[in-house]
Amino acid sequence: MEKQTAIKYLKRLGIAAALMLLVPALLVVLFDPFYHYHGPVFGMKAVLEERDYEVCGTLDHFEYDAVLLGDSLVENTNTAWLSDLFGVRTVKAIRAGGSNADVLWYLDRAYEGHELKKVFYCIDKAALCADTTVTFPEKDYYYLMDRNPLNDWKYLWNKDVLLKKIPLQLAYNTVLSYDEGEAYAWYRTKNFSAQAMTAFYTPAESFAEAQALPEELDKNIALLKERILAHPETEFILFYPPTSYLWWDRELREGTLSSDYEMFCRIVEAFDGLDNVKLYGFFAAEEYTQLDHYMDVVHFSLQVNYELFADMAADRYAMDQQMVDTEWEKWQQRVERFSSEEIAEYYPDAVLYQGGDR
Amino acid sequence: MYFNSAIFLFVFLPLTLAGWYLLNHFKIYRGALVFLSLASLVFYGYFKPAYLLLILGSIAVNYLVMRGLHRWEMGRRGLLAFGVLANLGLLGYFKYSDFFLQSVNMIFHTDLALLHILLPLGISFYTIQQLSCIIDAYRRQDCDPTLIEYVSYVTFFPQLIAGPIVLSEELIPQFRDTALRRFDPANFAQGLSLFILGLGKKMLIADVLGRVVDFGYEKIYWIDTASAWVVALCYILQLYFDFSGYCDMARGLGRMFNFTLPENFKQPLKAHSVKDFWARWHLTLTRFFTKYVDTPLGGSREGAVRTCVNVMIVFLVSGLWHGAAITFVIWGGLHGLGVLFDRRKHFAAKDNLFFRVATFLFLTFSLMIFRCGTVDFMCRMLRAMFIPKGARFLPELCSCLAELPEFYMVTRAAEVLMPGAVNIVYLILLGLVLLVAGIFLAGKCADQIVCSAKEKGYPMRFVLAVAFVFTCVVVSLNQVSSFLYFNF
Repeated sequence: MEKQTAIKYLKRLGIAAALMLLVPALLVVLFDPFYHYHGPVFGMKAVLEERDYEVCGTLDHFEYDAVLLGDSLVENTNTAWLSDLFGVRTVKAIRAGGSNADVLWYLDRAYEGHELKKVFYCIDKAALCADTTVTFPEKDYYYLMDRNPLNDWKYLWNKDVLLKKIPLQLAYNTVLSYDEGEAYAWYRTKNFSAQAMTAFYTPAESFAEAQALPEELDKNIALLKERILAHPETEFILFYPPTSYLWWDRELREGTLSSDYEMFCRIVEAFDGLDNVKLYGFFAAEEYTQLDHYMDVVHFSLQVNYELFADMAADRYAMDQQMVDTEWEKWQQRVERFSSEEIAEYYPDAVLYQGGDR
Repeated sequence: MYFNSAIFLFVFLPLTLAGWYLLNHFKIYRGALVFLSLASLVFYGYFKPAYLLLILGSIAVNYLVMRGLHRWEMGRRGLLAFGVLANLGLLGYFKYSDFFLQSVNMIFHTDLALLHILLPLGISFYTIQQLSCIIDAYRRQDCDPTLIEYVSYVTFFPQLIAGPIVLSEELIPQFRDTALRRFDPANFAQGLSLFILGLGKKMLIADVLGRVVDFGYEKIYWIDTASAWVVALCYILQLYFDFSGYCDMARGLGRMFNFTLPENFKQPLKAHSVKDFWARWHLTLTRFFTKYVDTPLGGSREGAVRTCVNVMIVFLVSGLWHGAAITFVIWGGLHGLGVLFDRRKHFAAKDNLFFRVATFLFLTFSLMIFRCGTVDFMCRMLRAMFIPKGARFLPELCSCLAELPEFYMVTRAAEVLMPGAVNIVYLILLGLVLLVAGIFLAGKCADQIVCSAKEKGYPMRFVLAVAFVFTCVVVSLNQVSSFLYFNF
């Protein structure tokens, strides 16, 4: 009797648990907040707030003909600008703090299901100098990228997805406003001003010897060039974004300023002249390097972000060897002047640059 | 691996159960024990394979000592002393080296370098378990296990990491009983239910309370009086639901294998005195210290003074067993004094609300010290608790609950719709968490709930409740957290 009761209980428990487990899985498949299975349903807006979890799904399932590749510097870019300025429908593939190899992994993924008219590639020094190994397989969200259905349970039965992401998706589509173009944007909670951004930087007390570029730079440039040559039908818009005077001050103090010139030369050497590449450089754009445009040494305001694309659409700041040579010399003097005089306005105790070998 | 991990729930446990019952079905009884031991070693080695060398070495030495104690007539005392010292030495090296060096540095103002040895998981548990074996072997009170029985007993995965502390005389006779090797749906159903309810206690209650505790201790420099008491209250509840949940899981797993593991909790937070608390909390540890420390010291047979000394020794050792820090010793000492206080003849503790509340407050206070880790933290918490400092930090403390998926939308909605009242919402959330914990604390324990359901033939509402808890646990699996008692 006891045995029969237990068997009956185990059967009922199994069925009840299976049915209950089906509910969250169905909800996740239906609303799919990370767009792992499909794009937005029921005419809902695409709510994108978790970059690392969502980029791969958007590349797989959204309709687009351009991608914006880069890091947090261009994360605030509104894709509607790109539509207006370049006439393309863009998906952002942002990899903050990542490597060039990761960004290019996204590009490869985009090409697997889409034909691209344009690729916007924000050149990041740290990413170009990073290891050339793709880091995604080590990440805990790799189950969203590996096309292995066996590990999808991490997504289907996931408390955060069920109780945070799906309700948030519904809220943004009903009671709250949401601009799809501003996917992953973070600017709203930040303060862009010289006063705020100087808190994030302390000038080093000494000036290091000149540093050489890492060998990864050439490998990363080669990886990018490989993609460009493989897709002559796509126009690649490569741009080196502006950074604040304080970033340049740091380069000077760390002994990497002269290698920056070398980096620009190698970039120009690799990409200038390729038929499907447009190359832009904002490194010496004084109008964008003022401290008031920044929240820290590198992250610029939404206005600067827009202006960059507007400049590129108007073909301003094109970068070639002649531009690098002429602009660099002036820029280097400008940076040295900042580090030897102007920086004292923000950091009265800072050790000032006295000239010498860089 | 953790009990609350997918690899355990959906791979290790089903495979181990299937292998165990399959081998036993074909009457390969020794093979089944070998299989169970290997599975347990996989379970243990999954944390860090290097730990396997340690546990296997410890098992080998202890088994050889046991064999010697059984076979030799001469030199048994010396062999016992060797065995005891070997076990204490192992525990001392891995657990107390840095504590010893720190103490030497503090007392003698030296600057000896610390060793920073990583504490192997479960070492406190399997070391005292094996100590009990060799002492029983010396007393010729054990069941003279074979090597495979002994390995299976020490490594039996449900109790390996954090107890309950099972004695060989409890488990090995069950290994030998071939009647227990057949799959029994009644035991399995009971064990599975207990395991799921234990998982729920750990993942759905203890981990939520743990958020508040961790946040409070992280921000200890800002903590005020109200917040300090809330953190202390959350910690005692967290510890209870965490550890008793773990023990429910361990006992449930045991039942799924047809084995009965000893009860470790009897609603301890309802105790009306400290002595009563220790008759309800971590019973198998209390039993160990009574049998192997207190009784050999003379217990209460040697007069009042000696009794007091023995009680204090037991509790100080118990404190030190829980952790290598002076705060654990202070906690043990406080409990020793609490037990001695209960021995007074006048104004004896009665089982009424007043004494229950007083005992609960004492436990809350003493466990706050237990959690502190350093004297500096302890002093900060003591100051915050007893020197009135208001409650300004309380809303911030409660705000840590806002990031929990369960409360996320409520708090986001409150932030948008009534930003001025967000702090009140945070306080309500804390109240809700404490209310849920209080309801489960006041009600029956998991074991009683399962037994009661069994007697009623597992009614449908019980089936749905267990299935719901299991579903909640599965969707919570992506938030892996460690068990508190793994640290001790």
